[in-house]
Amino acid sequence: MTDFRTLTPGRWITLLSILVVLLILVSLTAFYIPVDPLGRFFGRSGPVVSAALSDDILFKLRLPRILAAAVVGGSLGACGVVLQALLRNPLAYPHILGISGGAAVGGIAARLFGFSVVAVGGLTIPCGALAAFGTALATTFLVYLTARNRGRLEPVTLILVGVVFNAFAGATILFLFAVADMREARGILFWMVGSLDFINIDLFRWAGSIALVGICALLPLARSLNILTLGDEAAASLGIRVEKVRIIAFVGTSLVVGAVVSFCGMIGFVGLIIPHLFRLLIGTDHRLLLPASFLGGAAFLVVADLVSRIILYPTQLPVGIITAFCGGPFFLYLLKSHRERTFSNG
Amino acid sequence: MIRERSASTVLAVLILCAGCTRSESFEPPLVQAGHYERIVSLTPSLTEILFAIDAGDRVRGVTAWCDYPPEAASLPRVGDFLKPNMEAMLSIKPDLVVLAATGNLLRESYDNLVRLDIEVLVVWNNTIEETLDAVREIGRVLELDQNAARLEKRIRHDLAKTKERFTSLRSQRILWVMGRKPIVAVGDGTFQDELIEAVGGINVAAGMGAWPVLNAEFVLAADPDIIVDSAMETSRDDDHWKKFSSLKAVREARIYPLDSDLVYRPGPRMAEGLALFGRTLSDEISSQ
Repeated sequence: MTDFRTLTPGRWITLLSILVVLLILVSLTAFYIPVDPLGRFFGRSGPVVSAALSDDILFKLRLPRILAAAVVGGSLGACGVVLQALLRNPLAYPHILGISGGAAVGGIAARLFGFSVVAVGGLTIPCGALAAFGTALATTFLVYLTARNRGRLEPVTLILVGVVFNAFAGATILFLFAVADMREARGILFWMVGSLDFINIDLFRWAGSIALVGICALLPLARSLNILTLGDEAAASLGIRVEKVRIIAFVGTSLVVGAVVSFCGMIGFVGLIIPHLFRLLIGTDHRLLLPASFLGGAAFLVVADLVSRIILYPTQLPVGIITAFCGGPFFLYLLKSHRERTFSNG
Repeated sequence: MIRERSASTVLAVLILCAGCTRSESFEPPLVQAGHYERIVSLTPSLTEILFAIDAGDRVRGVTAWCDYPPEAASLPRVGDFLKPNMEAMLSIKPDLVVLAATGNLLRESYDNLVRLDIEVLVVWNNTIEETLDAVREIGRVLELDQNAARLEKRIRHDLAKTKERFTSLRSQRILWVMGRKPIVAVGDGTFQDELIEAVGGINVAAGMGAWPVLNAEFVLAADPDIIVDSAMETSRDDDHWKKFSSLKAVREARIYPLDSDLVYRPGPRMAEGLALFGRTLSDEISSQ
């Protein structure tokens, strides 16, 4: 493990990028179509499959889903890093500011009121997703207004406001759950647990682009985030415009999280664990940590999605279960084996 | 929009704990037969049974989803079987509550009611035979055995007659989807599975439990002849399946929206449910 630290940042990024691409390719093609993973593993060959079927499976099911897993995992990983620095809180995670709760309320409400799909710029988007993104933006604005105090965005206030917004969103969701037709319960669960089961490439193009734009806006903040973790005074004395950085970080992460949640619900765990994982592996320099967490989150969710699809084939598990099952123990292992050094590094 | 969706309710729970199986070990004590006068029904299909055996005038409370027969809809509501409103229930002063065993929720509802010293009759009605057993059991408890026997005989007769009508569906491989995101299908031991069997079809989602959450790739690989789609979006997002041109059911336009209480409520109208199912799949009913 110690060897990882001797890698240069450039090599880290290259390595992780190669890993992500490899995992995407593996996830896309490595399993026999129609899937017979164990059969393939033991060298058993299955029936010949028509080109139409493999096209449908590869390009209409797997590709959108795997790309989405990569973008979602990456976005959550990167947002986790930014929020942990912004809020100076190791427990911060992408859903902490209430944006995700707001998105879920919008998505669920749209579903309950019976809106279906709309065409936006030639792409067919489910109304639920659009409403979710809309309410995510509205929540961002509200959280910002509420948390801003004398023109400043204090981390503690921001967390508190976020927690209250989340609680309020949770109550609203439970209310909708209570009055909804039981058939809608499934739809509500989708938002709460998170899922990559949408089969809509248009939606992914739309939300994925927003998420990637947001990530691009966050990447240049890396240096400022390094200094921000030293404290406001130190940061200000080093020439950082603290408030500006905070607002960009806050709006950027909200945009990304809103976009991500609007099409796959609240997938948990990635955004909390991946940043810590890479902090343990490569240290706390955000210039490397931020892109590394993006790539690492992408790799992690691609693998988790693959496992969720094949482990119980022909049935499947929600991806959130896999992320918690595999990620939790692995993270604890890393924490344990790195504890000494982490503490000695302060 | 307010209807019974006992199937979906179970699904909602199952999605969180996919793979859980229902525990059948719960055996509530036998309920004494007697002349119960103030009955509350916590399941729409049981409400239908109560009315069908001429005990409708003794029903004093029903769930929010009990809408058949029309008289039932005007009775006082006591919530639903997931969350019965205990105060509304107590204010009716029921001498008997009947409910159908549905998944893991049964035990909790049962215990809550027994704790309030209410006589509770639990029946199983997940399948046709269970439903006919339930008819007999309700008849026994209400001392309406003859009515129950008549009803059972009529249902059996109608079912047998209806079955013969749909020969064109024999050996068709059928997938019945209850939810799309994720794909939740009708599996073994459900009333819907029996409808597929009754028309001679083969359920492609058999052997994976009652409500399997399917991998979409499995659906494409299994390539069913017919897809029945009860997902709520059915009428609103018709293009959902169309993009999978490799599916035989898509090419042959054999995807049928079907979302009626008749196929969700194993009760006195089971034969009508079977007839609706068969007619829909045989293109006797236009698919909208």
